[in-house]
Amino acid sequence: MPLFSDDRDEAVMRPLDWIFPSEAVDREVLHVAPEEPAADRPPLLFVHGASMGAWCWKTHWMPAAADLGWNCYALSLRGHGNSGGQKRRHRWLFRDYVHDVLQTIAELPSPPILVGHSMGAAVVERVVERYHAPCAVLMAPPGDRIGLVTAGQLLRHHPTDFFGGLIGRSVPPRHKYLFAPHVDRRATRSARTRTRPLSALNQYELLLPDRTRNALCPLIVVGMEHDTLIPFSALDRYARRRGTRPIFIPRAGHTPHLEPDHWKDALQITLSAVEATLQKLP
Amino acid sequence: MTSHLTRPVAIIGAGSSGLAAARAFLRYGFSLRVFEREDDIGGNWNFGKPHARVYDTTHTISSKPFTQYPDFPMPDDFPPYPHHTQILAYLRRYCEHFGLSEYIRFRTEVVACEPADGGGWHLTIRDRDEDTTRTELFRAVIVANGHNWSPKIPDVPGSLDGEVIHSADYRDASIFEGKRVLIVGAGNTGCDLVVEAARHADAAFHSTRRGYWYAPKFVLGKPGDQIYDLLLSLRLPAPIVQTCLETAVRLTVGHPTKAGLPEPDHRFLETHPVTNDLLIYYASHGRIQPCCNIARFDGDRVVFDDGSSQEVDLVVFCTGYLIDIPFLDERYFRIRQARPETYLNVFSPHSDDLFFIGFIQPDSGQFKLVHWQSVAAARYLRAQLTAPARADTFRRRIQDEVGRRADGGIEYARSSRHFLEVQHMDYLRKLDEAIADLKVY
Ligand SMILES: Cc1cc2nc3c(=O)[nH]c(=O)nc-3n(C[C@H](O)[C@H](O)[C@H](O)COP(=O)(O)OP(=O)(O)OC[C@H]3O[C@@H](n4cnc5c(N)ncnc54)[C@H](O)[C@@H]3O)c2cc1C
Repeated sequence: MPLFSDDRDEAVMRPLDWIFPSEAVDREVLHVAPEEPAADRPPLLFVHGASMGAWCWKTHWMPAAADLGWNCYALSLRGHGNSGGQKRRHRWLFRDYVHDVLQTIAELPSPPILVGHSMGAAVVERVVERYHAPCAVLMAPPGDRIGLVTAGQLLRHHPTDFFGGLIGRSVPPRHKYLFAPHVDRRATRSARTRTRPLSALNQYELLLPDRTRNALCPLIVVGMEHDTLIPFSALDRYARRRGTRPIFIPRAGHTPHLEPDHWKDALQITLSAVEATLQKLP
Repeated sequence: MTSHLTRPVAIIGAGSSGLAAARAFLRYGFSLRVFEREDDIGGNWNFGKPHARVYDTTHTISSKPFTQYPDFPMPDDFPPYPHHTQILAYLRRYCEHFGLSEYIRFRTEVVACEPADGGGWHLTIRDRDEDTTRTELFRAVIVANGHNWSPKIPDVPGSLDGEVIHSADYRDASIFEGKRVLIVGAGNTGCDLVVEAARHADAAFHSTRRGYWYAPKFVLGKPGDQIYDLLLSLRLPAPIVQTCLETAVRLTVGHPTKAGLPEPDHRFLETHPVTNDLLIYYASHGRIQPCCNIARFDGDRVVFDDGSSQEVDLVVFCTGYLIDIPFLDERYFRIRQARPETYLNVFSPHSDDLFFIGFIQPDSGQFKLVHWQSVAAARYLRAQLTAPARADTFRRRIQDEVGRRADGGIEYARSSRHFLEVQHMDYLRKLDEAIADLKVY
């Protein structure tokens, strides 16, 4: 059964959203404005991965992108970072995160380019099947059947994490999962002071193969050479099914934007892909 | 030929429908021009403008999830039923976010619209500041001038010493102070106004042609229309849905007769739903006196069909609005057998490049439906350029489906109030099919 087919058009009927709209919670949105904004360039909206928060973009990427003239926003999904909904963290589903992103988008002056990382990329995929962004960047996306590949990776490297995850325990943020092996372990230690445990429901949602609809905008799929959770080969297959070729970030691990030695290259590669895509838009 | 393809489409009206159309046609690559006779966007929701029909206390009847555009949610800090000022603010944000303002020409009124030889439309446009008119050729026309502005005023014999107005001219309850007020009609406006009269007037009378069902705004702690959507999405047969809704009404605000109101002569949903908790409340406190249909005016009294009469200082006709498209030959949007002779109230069987957006009276919010109407129309026009075979199939579909109504199996009461009535889920499913048929990328 093909997971992506050209027939999966925009969804008109979304009864679940009409009958059970997501609850409102407070949202943390960080903003770094460029001193000299480049004309006619859409803003960037960053969406973090599971257990992270808006902070993970603020560390390196947002100030650096702003220096290059990009207007940068990042939100914390509910239950993450300093957003609300912390107490009920274990109840939130991807659809609630989609709500958070759409709410943030509607506050921006113009349609943003969406940049999602890991679980955030899965959320962005669901946003761009209904919202017409200029383009979207999916970094290490777990979409399609990649969740199963990731589960296999856990089983291989840390079977206890795999079985724990199966019964709903949070998979811990190990160095091996977050970063390339040669990255200084201090990066993990510093990230760990701010990460939150993964919710069981989200872990299951990540595991399940999904049937995402066609995106309404061009997708830029970004993969990392030393990503343990999402091997580049799986990502390559995924990108092809999405009708595109992945962008490759050498030497980096799963979370390149927090890697002291690689964030700059990763940002530069990503932004040039974005610029190239924007130029091709009608 | 190329000039014909790149020629802009014209959108008439910058209310919630015209804006949704602008967004959809831009997305599908058309250049466009929006004509708006006022100096601002928002149409009906721009309180105080000559053709706006909201009054100071208007909150939406439909809750947020269905009222908002599907790709641009209303802010979380809006209440479930926003105030009209919030709806206008929301429309402004929509306009800004999608960069629609630059396409709108304010204070320009379309006064005539004629098909051009060889396709497209000639529009005659009046510039209201310079008082000049000019005629321009457009690729296509989108009619989005609204259907809630042209007052429908019944003919009542005799004359009344007091004042008689239509709700179109009602702004706030100050006109009720110290008066004996008769509100005519039980649409959503009529019910809102009779509640205002109960609060502010010396006496409040409510004349209705028949008994109605009054739905509460909240059921089981949720906006009632969300519960309604739950019933509809289960695809239960219409009579079961109707029974559930009637039971819900009995269990919440109570059957209308309990408050001394007339017995409904029809089942729930057969007339356009009225959502109002306060009417039942004030009626059951004796502050609203129900009356039947008006027979005539007689000096300082109004005489009713049953022979009773009341002394009245002010009559407000809340008798609704007429479909009014003064600039267009009526054959393009003709009402036959109590429904428009169109496909899905959007496509005319007489023209490939003429679309009607917003000409629906849903049992729910408007903006979502109007968004998908616009997407369907934009795709059809696009298909005519890029996928002629698909467009041909669709043209046949339009001819076949003309006049078929998305009523979800409900037989609506036969009155002009229900010419545009649609059951929103059924309607959306049908639009969904149309959109899927028109895949163009
Ligand atoms: C009291 C009241 C309460 C309502 N409550 C709800 C609710 O809760 N939820 C809901 O979804 N809907 C509600 N509605 C329905 C409401 O009409 C729609 O929500 C919506 O405003 C319709 O938008 P529109 O753009 O089709 O028409 P309008 O808002 O009327 O806009 C039409 C625009 O076209 C312009 N125009 C007209 N003729 C011309 C011309 N010849 N040339 C140029 N410009 C022209 C007008 O100036 C206007 O700006 C309510 C209506 C009323 C009256």
